[in-house]
Amino acid sequence: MHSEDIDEDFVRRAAALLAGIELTAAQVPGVIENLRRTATIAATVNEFRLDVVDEPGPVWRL
Amino acid sequence: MGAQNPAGFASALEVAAQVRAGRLSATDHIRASLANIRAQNPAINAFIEVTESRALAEAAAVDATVAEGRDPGPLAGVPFAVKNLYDVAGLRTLAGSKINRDLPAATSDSPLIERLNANGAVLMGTLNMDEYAYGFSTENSHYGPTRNPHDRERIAGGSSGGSAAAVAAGLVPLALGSDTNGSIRVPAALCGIFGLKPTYGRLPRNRSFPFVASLDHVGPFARSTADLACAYDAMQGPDPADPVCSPRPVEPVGPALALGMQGLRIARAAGYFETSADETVVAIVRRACEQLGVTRTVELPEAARARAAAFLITATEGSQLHLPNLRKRADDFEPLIRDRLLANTMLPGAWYLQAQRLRGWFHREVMKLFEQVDVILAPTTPRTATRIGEATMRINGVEMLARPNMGLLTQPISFIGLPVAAVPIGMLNGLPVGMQVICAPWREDLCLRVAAVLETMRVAQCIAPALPPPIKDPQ
Repeated sequence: MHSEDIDEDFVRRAAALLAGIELTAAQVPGVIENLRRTATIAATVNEFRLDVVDEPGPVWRL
Repeated sequence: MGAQNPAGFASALEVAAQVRAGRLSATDHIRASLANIRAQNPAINAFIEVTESRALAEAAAVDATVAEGRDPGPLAGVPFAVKNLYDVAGLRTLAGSKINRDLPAATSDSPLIERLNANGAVLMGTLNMDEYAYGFSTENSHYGPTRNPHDRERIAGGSSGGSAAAVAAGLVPLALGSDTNGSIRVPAALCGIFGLKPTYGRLPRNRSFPFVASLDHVGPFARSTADLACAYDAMQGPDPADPVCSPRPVEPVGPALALGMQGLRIARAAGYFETSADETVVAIVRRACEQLGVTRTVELPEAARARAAAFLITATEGSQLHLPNLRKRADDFEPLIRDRLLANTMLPGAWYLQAQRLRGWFHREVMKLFEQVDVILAPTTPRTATRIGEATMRINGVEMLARPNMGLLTQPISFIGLPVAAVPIGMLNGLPVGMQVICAPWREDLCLRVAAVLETMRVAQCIAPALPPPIKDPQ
């Protein structure tokens, strides 16, 4: 997801398809703003190269 | 005879000692504390519900135990209150929300409340918070903002803002909060008190309303390390009802407080933890380190990315938890988080898994640092408390959103579940500044040991806010 691709139509269709949510007009601008911000943050995580042996958490032994 | 300090600012241990010795009636002390809450709470809005009849019944039970010659426990007659995401029998577990008003009342207490009660402590009520713990400011549109006792125009921090403000204002000496990304440490810092975020899995979270299962912790606030340690020790122990609660036995930290810092290898976190905080805050942390004789620095690798990954895990798990209500009644959510929750329902699973894998990587790398040092010191928040309603803040010339970024320095640490003591280490223009004392998993003893040293040196101390004078104990 590139943040510039996120527009009103995209968000409405994505919310319905992915989450079963019918967004109202009042919700759409805030949802777009938050998705753009999160996409930017996610990019810093996704660009980090992990080894195939790096498994998801939980991350320490008791 | 009353406690030497006014009801609100007596230490927990001071109250308990007098109650156990029969020099102070728990009932009298609780009556005075209830009056103090009635007088002071309207100014800060920390308490949402006061459990007066229950408190008086518990106090009477403590007094009866003393009268029978039995020991009511190390927290005898000590008032405490809990963030309103803890189950309290007979109350609805609001978690700061409007939506949860529709839930039935809890039928039993959270295990942490049971354990504090079993040690003689007396529950006074429930405390304000950010809705569903998603925030760092306790600006709650349903119940009003909690106000910082040091400046009532400013935030108390969050999400356990009611807990920190209640302790800082002298309404109770102990409170419970929860910490997913910094929600104990941030309000402790902004209100100028001590807080403990134990190791992930140390204290049982069952019968508290969840936020992000991968990151949720619970823990106490207090005005001294001794009180904090006593409460923490009273709450330790396995609970099979929480799937992540460790079966480790109780490992009391109280005896460690007097050990000093001899033999401890302590370092200051440099890099991200200094560039992400205002230089005035960094200067206070550096001064505290100098007073401790700490000259060594370490750098947590990829801390900014760790914070970003914690943000993604929070976004994904937090919104998934609320998906049914987001579908049915999104507009009943707190306006400050509604659109964020809605947006978060659409995040790709690949982002979440990459964040969880980065969590494993980051944990491994940070554990290598703990082969070289025992304790890492870092600022708790990037700056002091912002004004209520202030949407943005500027850190070292960079404009950013205030509410999500108050946790910039706490998120990388809770991301991998490390234990942290939050300690108040100074004032900046009349507002508290805090420092994190960070240790390897299961080493809460070291966190509190260093906090105690800082307190003994008076590098760390709670400054009483200038509120109207609290009501004194009956003599």
